[in-house]
Amino acid sequence: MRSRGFSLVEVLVALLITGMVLVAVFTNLESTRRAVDAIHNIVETESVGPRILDQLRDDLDHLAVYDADDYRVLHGESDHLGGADADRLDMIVLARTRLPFRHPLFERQLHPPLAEVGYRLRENPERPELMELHRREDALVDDEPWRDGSFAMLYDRVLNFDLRYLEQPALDPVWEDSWDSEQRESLPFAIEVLLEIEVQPRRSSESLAILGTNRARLDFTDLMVLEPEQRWLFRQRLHPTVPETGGGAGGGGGGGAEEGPGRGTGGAPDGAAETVGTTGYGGGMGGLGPR
Amino acid sequence: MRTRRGFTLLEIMVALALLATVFVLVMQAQRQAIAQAADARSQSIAARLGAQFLHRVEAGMVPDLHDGYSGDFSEEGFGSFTYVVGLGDGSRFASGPLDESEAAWREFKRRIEEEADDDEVLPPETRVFLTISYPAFGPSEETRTYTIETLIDSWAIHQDFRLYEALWPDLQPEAIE
Repeated sequence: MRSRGFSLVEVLVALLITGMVLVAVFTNLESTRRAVDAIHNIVETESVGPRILDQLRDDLDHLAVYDADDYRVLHGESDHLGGADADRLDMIVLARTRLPFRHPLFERQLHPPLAEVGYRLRENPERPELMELHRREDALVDDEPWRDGSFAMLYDRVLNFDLRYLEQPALDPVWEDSWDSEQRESLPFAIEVLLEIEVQPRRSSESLAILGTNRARLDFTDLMVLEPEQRWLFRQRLHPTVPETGGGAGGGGGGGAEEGPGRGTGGAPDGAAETVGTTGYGGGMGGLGPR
Repeated sequence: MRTRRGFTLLEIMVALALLATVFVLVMQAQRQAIAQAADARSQSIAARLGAQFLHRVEAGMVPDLHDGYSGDFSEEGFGSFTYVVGLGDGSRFASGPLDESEAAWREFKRRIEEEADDDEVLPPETRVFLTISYPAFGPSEETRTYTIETLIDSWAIHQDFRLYEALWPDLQPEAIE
């Protein structure tokens, strides 16, 4: 049998068919890529901001209000960075740290149930008009609870991070820019958070039809109302404060007894010192004062 | 002698039809994936906006709240998302009851609420239904709804700040020396 090659027509037809198939496949690939971009936009615009706010809400829910030392639990400071709001917020929370902490005595890695947590911003080294939001975590509480620790970046393209504090609910609420629980000896009624971030939407015709998915700047505002029970517990001294020795402290104790009869143990008759227990307010061990 | 025979027209038509069907199916799957993702996003936006609204109600920051209070989220940038608030266990603006017993319970509560005097003492907490409607993805006019049901302190709903102070008198620093 004599072998014979393909004729020109046959080769042309084969090329045509291959071309058609390739065009179809690439069109399909291209539209798949655009679908992926659209879905990327859909996911990115609704995931980053709410996730950061949820994390903050979770930390506020776990404030270590129980018998806090010197009322040091929450410290919010207004700050600016290159013209943008870059507020700082630090707190002490009852939550296990993410990173293990090496205990110096036990020589073991532990996840202590108490930690300092903070939210800090710094300039994005690659794009100075943007900021990086970091969450600070420091196991246990040291003498400087608003500093140090290990930082974990939450998001690298933040435009604004603004916190406002409300002392009391009111028809005409008065917002404050900072809150120091040590100085105020109380927790705010609510904290309002404004977070403005930049996302990187990929241009795609598909996502034009979907509401707001092509926007590059998003802002999220949320109001975090602290539980009244939490604030109430924070106000209580579960362990009575021991008055300082000396005449001044004794006078202070006596003063407490005069100002607050019927509250705590201040107004109790002699022998109250033995029953000092649950409801001693700051300086409330009036029973110990000279009579 | 070899017989050389090409494809018939019918065979080519069938092959093309198969190819076209496959491509149409792939395109449809993509379209559907986008639509599903967009709807899921709308739902999570509705959940977020609803939660934000309820946080403001919780703080006593929504004035003139009443059964049937409605509005939209244009301030947050989502003007096509609208909401209706239902107040009270027997609210007519609640989501559809889940079953017969729940419907009967709501009917019972509604009757009590209608008979109640206005001066009656507020219950400590009030049931709140928030129904958010938003357009479905695509050219259709279809709308979807997302419902949140929760209990909120009555002082916050009625903006009764004196009641709040009476409930939590010890929270003010000046209250304690």
